[in-house]
Amino acid sequence: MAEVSNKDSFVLDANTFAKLHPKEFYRKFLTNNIRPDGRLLKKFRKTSINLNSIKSAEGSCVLKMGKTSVVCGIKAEVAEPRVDDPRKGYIVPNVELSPICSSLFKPGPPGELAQSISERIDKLFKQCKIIDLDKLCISEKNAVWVLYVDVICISYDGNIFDAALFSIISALKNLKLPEVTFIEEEGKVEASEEKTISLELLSTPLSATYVVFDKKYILADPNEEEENLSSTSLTFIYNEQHKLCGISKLGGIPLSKELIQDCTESAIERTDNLRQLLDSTMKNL
Amino acid sequence: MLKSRAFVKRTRKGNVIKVIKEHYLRDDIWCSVEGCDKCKQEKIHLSCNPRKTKLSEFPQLIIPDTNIFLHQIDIIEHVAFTNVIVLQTVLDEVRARSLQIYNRIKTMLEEVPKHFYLFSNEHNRHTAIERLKDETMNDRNDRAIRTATLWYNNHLKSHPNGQITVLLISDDKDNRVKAQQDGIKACSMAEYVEEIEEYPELIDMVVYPSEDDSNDKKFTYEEHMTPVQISGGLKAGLLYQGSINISMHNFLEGTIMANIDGEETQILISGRASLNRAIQGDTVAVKLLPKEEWKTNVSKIITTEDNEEKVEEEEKKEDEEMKDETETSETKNKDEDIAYNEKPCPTGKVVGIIKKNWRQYCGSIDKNSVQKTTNHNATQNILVVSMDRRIPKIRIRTRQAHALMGKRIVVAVDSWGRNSLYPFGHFVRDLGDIGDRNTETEVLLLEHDVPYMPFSQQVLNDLPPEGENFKITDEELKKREDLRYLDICSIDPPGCTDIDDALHVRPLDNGNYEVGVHIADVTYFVKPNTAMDKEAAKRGTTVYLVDKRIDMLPALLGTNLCSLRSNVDRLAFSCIWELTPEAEIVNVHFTKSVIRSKASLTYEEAQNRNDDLRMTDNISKSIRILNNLAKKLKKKRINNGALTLASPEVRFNLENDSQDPVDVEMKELKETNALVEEFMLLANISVAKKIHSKFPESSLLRRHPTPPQSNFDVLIAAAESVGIKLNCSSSKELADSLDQAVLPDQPYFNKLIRIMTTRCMMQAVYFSSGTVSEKDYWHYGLATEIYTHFTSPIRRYSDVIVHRLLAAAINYGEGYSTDIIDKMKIQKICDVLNFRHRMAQQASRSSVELFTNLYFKDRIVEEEGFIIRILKNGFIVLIPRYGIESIIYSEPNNKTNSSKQIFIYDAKENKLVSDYATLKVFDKITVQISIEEAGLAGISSKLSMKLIKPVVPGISVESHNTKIDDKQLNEIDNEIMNKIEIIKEEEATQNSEPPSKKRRVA
Amino acid sequence: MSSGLDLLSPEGLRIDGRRANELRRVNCKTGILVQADGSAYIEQGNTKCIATVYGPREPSHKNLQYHDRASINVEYSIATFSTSERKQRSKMDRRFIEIANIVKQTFETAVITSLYPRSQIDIYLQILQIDGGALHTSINAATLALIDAGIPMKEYVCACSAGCVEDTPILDLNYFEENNFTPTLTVAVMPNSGKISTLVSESRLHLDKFEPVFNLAVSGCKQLHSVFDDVIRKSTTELANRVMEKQKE
Repeated sequence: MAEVSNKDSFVLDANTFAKLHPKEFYRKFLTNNIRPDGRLLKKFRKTSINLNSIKSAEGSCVLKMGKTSVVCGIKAEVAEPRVDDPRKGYIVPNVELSPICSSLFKPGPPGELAQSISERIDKLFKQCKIIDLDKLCISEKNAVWVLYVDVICISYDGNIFDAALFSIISALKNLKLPEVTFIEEEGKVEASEEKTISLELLSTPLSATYVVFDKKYILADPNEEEENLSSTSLTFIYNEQHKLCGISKLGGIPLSKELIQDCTESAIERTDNLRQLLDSTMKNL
Repeated sequence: MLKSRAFVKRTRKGNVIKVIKEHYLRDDIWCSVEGCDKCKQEKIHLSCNPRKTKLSEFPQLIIPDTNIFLHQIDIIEHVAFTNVIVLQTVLDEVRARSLQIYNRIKTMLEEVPKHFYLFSNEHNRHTAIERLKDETMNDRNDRAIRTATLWYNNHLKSHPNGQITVLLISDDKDNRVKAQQDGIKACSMAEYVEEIEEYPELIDMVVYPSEDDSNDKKFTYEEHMTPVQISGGLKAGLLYQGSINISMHNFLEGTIMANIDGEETQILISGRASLNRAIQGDTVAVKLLPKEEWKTNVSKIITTEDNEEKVEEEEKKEDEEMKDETETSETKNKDEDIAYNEKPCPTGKVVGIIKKNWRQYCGSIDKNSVQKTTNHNATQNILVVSMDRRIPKIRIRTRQAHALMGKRIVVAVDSWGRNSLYPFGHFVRDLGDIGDRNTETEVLLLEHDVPYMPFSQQVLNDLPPEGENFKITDEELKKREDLRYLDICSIDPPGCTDIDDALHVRPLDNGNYEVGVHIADVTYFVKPNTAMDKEAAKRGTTVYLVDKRIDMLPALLGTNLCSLRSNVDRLAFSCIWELTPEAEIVNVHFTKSVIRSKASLTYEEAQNRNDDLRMTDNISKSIRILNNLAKKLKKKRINNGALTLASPEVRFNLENDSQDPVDVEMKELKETNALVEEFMLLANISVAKKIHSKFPESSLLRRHPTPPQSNFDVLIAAAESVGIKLNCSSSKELADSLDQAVLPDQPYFNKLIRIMTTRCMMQAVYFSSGTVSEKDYWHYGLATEIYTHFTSPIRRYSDVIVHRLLAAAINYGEGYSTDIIDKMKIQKICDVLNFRHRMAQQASRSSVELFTNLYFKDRIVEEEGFIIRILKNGFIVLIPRYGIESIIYSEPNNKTNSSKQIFIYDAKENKLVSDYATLKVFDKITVQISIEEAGLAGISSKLSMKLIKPVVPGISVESHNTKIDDKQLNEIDNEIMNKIEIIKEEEATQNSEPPSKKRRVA
Repeated sequence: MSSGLDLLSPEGLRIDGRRANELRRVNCKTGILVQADGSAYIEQGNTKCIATVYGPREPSHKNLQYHDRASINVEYSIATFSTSERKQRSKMDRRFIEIANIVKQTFETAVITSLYPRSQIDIYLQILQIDGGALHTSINAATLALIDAGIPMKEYVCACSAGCVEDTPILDLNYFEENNFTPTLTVAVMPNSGKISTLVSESRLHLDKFEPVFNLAVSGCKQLHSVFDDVIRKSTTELANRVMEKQKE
């Protein structure tokens, strides 16, 4: 509430100030090397995952990264392989951002953000050998597995790409496909009731996203507000061998090389932490 | 407590999906043993005093495993088996493997005296188990069975009446060993059954897992294809699927109907190797043989008694002859010269059996297969010959071989291996001596699957408690129209006790007539889904045998409470029309009513009242009016094309099928027969229209498909050979042709040809209206667009359903069961009724055959007959006087010189030619009828006919009396008639009601 | 048609082991998503649904603005991985719009909309797993979410489905039972007043059988009501305790 006590001083309380001058509000914190939600600049939000909760999906994962929550479900179907590659199965990723997660999104066909994230993930899968697609083959030219990966965002608070990618990798690691054999005479597939096989991931690339504020402050794992206030965002994708699988800086203000290199260490550490979290969760299953 | 079960399923499109089901574990699944103090059960199924055997010191409840149910179901159905716990795991497995056996188990679960209990072990918290890693489903199920058994053992240790243990019966040795390790008593079925001393026949009924085929000649059948190969072949169009029909005359020949290139054609399967272990009724997969091996369809008659080797030799010779023929006739156009039934028919061989149709078969022991040993109780392998001539001999093991000779027994088939000439089975039960009338009657009822057991107590409980003293309540009166003031009368055969229809007529002021048909209101007593209703639905119809009547409904209803007796109030369902004097329908309405019939007349009495104009009471006047109207109705029907195959004398012959075969008096059908018939037809048609208007999808109707022209081919050809032209293009044309088919020198010819026409007809069937398009509702024989059965609910279940539909259509009562608006449920009922109807007809015919054989036992009679069919090795003769037909072979059985043939078959003109006489269809001949004990196997006394005139040496026999004049014939007839009367009287005193001779409306 | 399994065994057990009149296990939680004004997660058997409520807030369209009351907007979506066989459904699927409409009309009377004129209340329903009973689970989830959001309602709205197998009414059908030509009836009831808020049936049900089935569904709703009431009271007590603690500081 604005109190006009005397003509010279104009005091606003914190919340109002944040609404009226958000950038100033942030600067005030950043100069002290801390962010309004209490995190250090390079600190990532608390992440937790829950595996195999959706029984109707062959693999599933519920992920919470701060206030961002996503649910990833993987359905496996048998289909005829693509003509150009009769020995390979394929993966179809899809990210959905619906009005349920935030008022930013309107009902209707997928918007820009959802589509671009889906596309980025798709490219990542195609270029980084995450799964050996040959393993998805049931019978050459006749039947292969198709994995439909669907990510639904339930609550949106920034950094949807990290969340989506991590949930997909977790769900994939947990995927249980029934063992099937292809029967020539019938042209159909016969499934074994008892055996399931899990998929071996060739690599687990995970991402860490940063935003740049005021050309000098780098904030890791931005929440929604920070995303809106920042001038550009930067994503690093590292696999378990600390090799860089991808880096993206999509437009925005130009950055210096040093600034970028600054983030790499933190990104590696972050992705390692995520991997450890995933492993320990799987062990506890 | 909730658990989850997930499994993988394959969809029709070939996709693999994961299916998840919840699985709750409960605490309230009880043991259901009488007197158990730990369980809070409401219903008790198992007694606390089950059988005690030497296998344990305590009384034992029995838990059989899945394979025991699948293979030894006959023993389990035996009275000795009680107090059985059926585990849910076991029942689910049985259901997956055999729906038939599953249904039988379900029936046993409902029978209270059997003490069977379904224990839901999958949902009981203590006995539910999860599949371990790397455990197969079978192992898991076995473990579940053992867990449940163990639980029961522990649970019943401290039973207040004394400890009860549980016995696991399994034929799987592994399972038994594991059970012993767990501390459970287990034994095989054979071991258990040996301990039951009161029923020694059980030992014979045990099915052994291994086969014994040491006695067979070295014969190996081709291996069957795997189901995967079969379905692949069917899809690819290389194999054909169909239900195999073995020929009645040749048990080594069968046919299936298959769709070749879009057309329904018959595929012939000939020879033991081609049949490849298919039994009558099995669904088989057939592969066509190459065209060069196609056989012709000319019939030859072979029965199981013929020496089979000889038969096969002859067949081989025939094939070679055929090959010679076809090779030499290159220049001729084959299709023209070879008569229609010499055209090669698509021939194939069975490569796999898709669905077995094995059932229990009645038969008797083949004397030749019994070894003469001094030890009469030794187990031996013997052959059983079935009553049904189409079934091969069945090999069984039994200890009672000698005791069972000369008896009728029931056996079941278990398996047929590749190396075994005959299928292997086991003994089920003994019915009685061969030739004993009651045994033979029971055999024919079993063979035709007619339920004949007396009504169970549950069914009798559904009868009104006041029984005979049932009175119509005032409440009920209010719901109905009171028609007791009408002059209603009923006209039925003499001695009839179940009167289901009555008529009345009243002249109206406007010159028209009010005519009413009143039908017994059976549905008042038979309510849906009661035990009595279910039993009636199962029986489907009353079955009329020569000496017995197997009722569909208990006698209290059929002959008393529902029967529209005179001078007593009765509930009825009335159909009332307003008719013009020309018998045109002005309007019709239906109502439930109460009537009081004034007179129960016989046909003769009614006819007398009609003719005697001095009788002027209301009933007589009514009969005259009704008679006139009936005649007009009939004329209209004839103009429409209704067939009168049921012409007076032919009707007599058909009616013959339900009366004594030697009833020589040819009754003239009176006008009053036609009177009742016409109004019943009219009622059926009106009701059909009404229920169809309200229930277009689920009305139970009856149709008679138009026979395909090909059915008439044989008949038309035969008629042409004597110069008669038959036009069979429509029912009207056919009726007219038949009226003109007269041979001046053969007065019986017209009746004969009508009889033969009847055989060209299709079966009339019941159907649910929604399953067929409206133009197919046509009833060919009656020439009406829509038809149903309404007028005989006492003896037909279809009429009961139609009554319910009509009651719903007129909005009578508080509501109706939803079953009658379900089109598929009605269709299912129709399928059952059609089956039962056919079986009932066949049973009646068999009963007649039986009695014919019995009455001819000590007699040799000479009689006139007509040839109705010519075959390659014989001809079929019909004796109109007794209504029987039989085959006479054209070659004597014991011919020594096989090359000299007496008769030569002329295929072109379909006749048998010899130096002394020529035999064609419609020829009148004289034959000798006698009973012959067929030499080898002594199975049954068979009716045998021998040719007397025309005289053909080598075939004909001498007539006993060279000249029999009519006087002597009459004497013989009278003798027979007297004997029959005596027997009838005896039976009348034995059974309280003589068989009712009901008219059958088409 | 069914693969040959009896929906009701001779001993009165259904395929999952429940008796005819037993509900599936219910699990619910409110306040799971901090972003939304109100949120709830409910599991009925294997059917899982998340509901989030935003509002009352500025209406998104001018035509959705009523001068005397709040407008309610419902969005319903089913995840592609929620069923055994993956089905790609477009958001504009008529089925979804119909269900959203049903839910909307249910709550238009239950929520006291006159308190918030010219505003919009958004209810978003996301189904994560379906095993029969999507409609009634959604209604229940929405009720809890609305209560969690603090939006005033006349009463709880509790919904349940019931059907009939061979004359025996059964409660809370799962996917298998729904797909076997069993007539299904979904009923939403306001338990205290006993008034029926919604009644949906899309199959043929004989009038004679209607009453017992209906009564069974209503009793199921009442059972659910007591479960929900418990949960709400617990979470509110917790909230109250926390607020009081904060105030003490």
